[in-house]
Amino acid sequence: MFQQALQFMRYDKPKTIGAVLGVIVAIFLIGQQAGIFIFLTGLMTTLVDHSSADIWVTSNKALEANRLGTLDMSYARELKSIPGIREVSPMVVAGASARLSNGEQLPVQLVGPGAPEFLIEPWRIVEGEVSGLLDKGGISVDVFDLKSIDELHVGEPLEINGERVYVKIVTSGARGFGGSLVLTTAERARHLGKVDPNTASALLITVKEGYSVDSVVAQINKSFFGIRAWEREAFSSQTRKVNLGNSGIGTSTFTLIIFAILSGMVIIGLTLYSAAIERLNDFATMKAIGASNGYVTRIIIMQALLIATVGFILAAFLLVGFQLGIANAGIFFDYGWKLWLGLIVATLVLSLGGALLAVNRIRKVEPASVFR
Amino acid sequence: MAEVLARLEQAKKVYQTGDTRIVALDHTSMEVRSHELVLLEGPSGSGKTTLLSLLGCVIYPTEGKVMVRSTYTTGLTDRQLSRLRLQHIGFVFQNFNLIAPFTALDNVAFPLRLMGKSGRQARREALQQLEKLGMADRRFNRPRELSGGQKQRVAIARALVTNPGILLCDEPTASLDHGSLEKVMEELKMLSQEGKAVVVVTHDPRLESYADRVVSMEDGRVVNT
Repeated sequence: MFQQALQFMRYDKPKTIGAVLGVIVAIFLIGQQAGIFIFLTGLMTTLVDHSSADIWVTSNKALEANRLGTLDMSYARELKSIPGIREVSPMVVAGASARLSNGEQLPVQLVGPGAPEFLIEPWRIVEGEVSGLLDKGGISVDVFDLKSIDELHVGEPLEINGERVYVKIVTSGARGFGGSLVLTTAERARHLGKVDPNTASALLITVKEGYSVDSVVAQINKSFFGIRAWEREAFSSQTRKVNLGNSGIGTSTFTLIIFAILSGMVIIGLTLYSAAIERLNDFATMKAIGASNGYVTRIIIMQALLIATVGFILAAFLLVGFQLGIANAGIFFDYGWKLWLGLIVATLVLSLGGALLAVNRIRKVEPASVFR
Repeated sequence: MAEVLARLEQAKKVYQTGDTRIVALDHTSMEVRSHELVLLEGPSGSGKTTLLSLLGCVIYPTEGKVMVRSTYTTGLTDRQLSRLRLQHIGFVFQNFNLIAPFTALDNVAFPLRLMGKSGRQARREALQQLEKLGMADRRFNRPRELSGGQKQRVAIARALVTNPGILLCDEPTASLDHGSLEKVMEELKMLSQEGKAVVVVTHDPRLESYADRVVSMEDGRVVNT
C-alpha cells in the first residue's frame, strides 16, 4: 500500500510537489499567525504571569491588568487581618518619559513592586541581579526597548521624568503590552512617576501554607468594598479575554487560520483530484484485477498522509527558522507541545479533507470501464 | 476432462441512460470450460464486451445468473466480487491496461500483493512469471518504455501470476503486429491446453485457427456456437 502510494506520487512529481507546497504554505501560515498570537497574548498578561503572588487585589473598576487604576494603601493594612494572608505587597504602575544617554527620548511604563519582597521580579535577565534594584536609582530595562544604545550594560545612566537613574538589570525579551517596561521598586516608581505615596495600582498577596487561595479570595471579596481580589490565573485569563475582545486579535488570527486550512485543503484537494482523474484508468484496472473500493481508497489516503508528513516536516523547519529569526527582533514565543499537536491535527485535517474529493471519484470508477 | 468453470444462465444486461434503455445482452446462456480456447466474435454492439464483463464479474446481470467456480455472483458484495475476480479470473485487455506508475515487475506483482503476499514474495513470483514469458530483462521498465508486444506479454504475465482458472482477453491482438499476434495467440493456446479456460473477444478472423470453439453474437444474443 505504502509502496504503491509512493509510486503514484513519484510518477506524478509536479502534482505531488504542488500538494506538498500546499501543506507547507498552509501550515506555515497557521504556525506563523499562532506564534504572533502567542507572543501578543503573552504580552497582555506578562505582569500577572511573571508575578509570584497568589492573589491580585485591584480597584473594583479594574477589568484587566493593563488598566489597573489606583488603590488606597490603607487596604494593605486592612487586608492583613484576613486569615491566611502571609504578605501584602504594593505594585505601582505609572507612565513616564525616559531620556537615554544618547539623547533619545521614549515613553516607558514604570512597574514598581514592593521591595525587598519583589512579588514581581525582572525576567529574562542577561546582566545584573534583582538586589540591584534596591540600589540608588536602580532600574531594569530591556535591550530591545533601548535598541539605540549600542552596548547596553549595567551602570548605564538615563533620566526618567528628569530624574537620574541607573540600569542595574538588563533583560532580553521582557517586554510589556503597553510600552517599554522599566522595573524598579514601588517607592521609586511612585517618586519617578509622581504617584501619590498613599496609593498603589494593585496589591499583591501571598497566602500562607494550609490555606486555600480560593477561600481567601472569596473572603476578601466578601469583606471589602471598592476592591476586587483575583486568583492569579483567573486574573491572567480575564486580562487575556478583555484584550482579545477589545483588540480583535483573536478574531483575525482565528479567521486567518480557518482560511489557511481551507486554502490548503483546496490546493491539496484539487491536486489529488486532478491526479486521480488522470489515473482513472489505472484505478479501474486495479479494481478489475481484484482491488476492492477499500483498497483503492487506502492508496489515496496513504498518498494524502505521505504528502501531509513531508509537508509538515518542511513547514516545521520553516516555523522553527521563523521563530529563531523573529527572536532577533525581540519577539519571543514558545510554540509548546499543544500547538505542535494542533498543527499536526490541522495538517491531517487539510490533507485528509483534501483527499475526500479524489476518494469519492475513485470509488465511483467502475471496473467494467476497462473494457470500453 | 473438461470442467465448467463459468456459466451464464439466461443472463440479461440492460443499460439505462435517462429515457434510453439499451439491452446489451438478452437472455443468454453459455458455458466456459477448462482446456478450451473460446473465440467470441460479432459486430460492434453485438454484446461481446458485456458478455465478457459478466463472465469477468465486473458487472451484475440485470436478470439471470452468473456462476464462476461454483459461486453465483448475485448478492455478492463489492469486496466478495473483487476477491472472486482476484482468485479465479485473469484479464488481458486490448490496450494492455498496465498500471502506468508501476514497473513491469510491480504490475505483475500487484495481484499477489492484493492476495496478501509480502512484497518480497510477490516480486519473486512475479519475476518467475516474467521469465516464463521472456520479459525478465524488462522488469524494471515502466509501461511507456515497452513496445506493444512487450506490454501484452507483461499483461499476460499479470493475468496468469495468480494461476486463475479463467483467462478473459478483450481484443488482445488488436494493437499488435503480425509477429506479436502469433506469439500471443500461441501462448494463449498453450494455456488452454494446460487446462485453463481462455475466452478471447475479437474481430480478427485470423484467430479462428487457434480456437477450440467459436461463439458468434448478434444483437445481444449468441447466434452460433
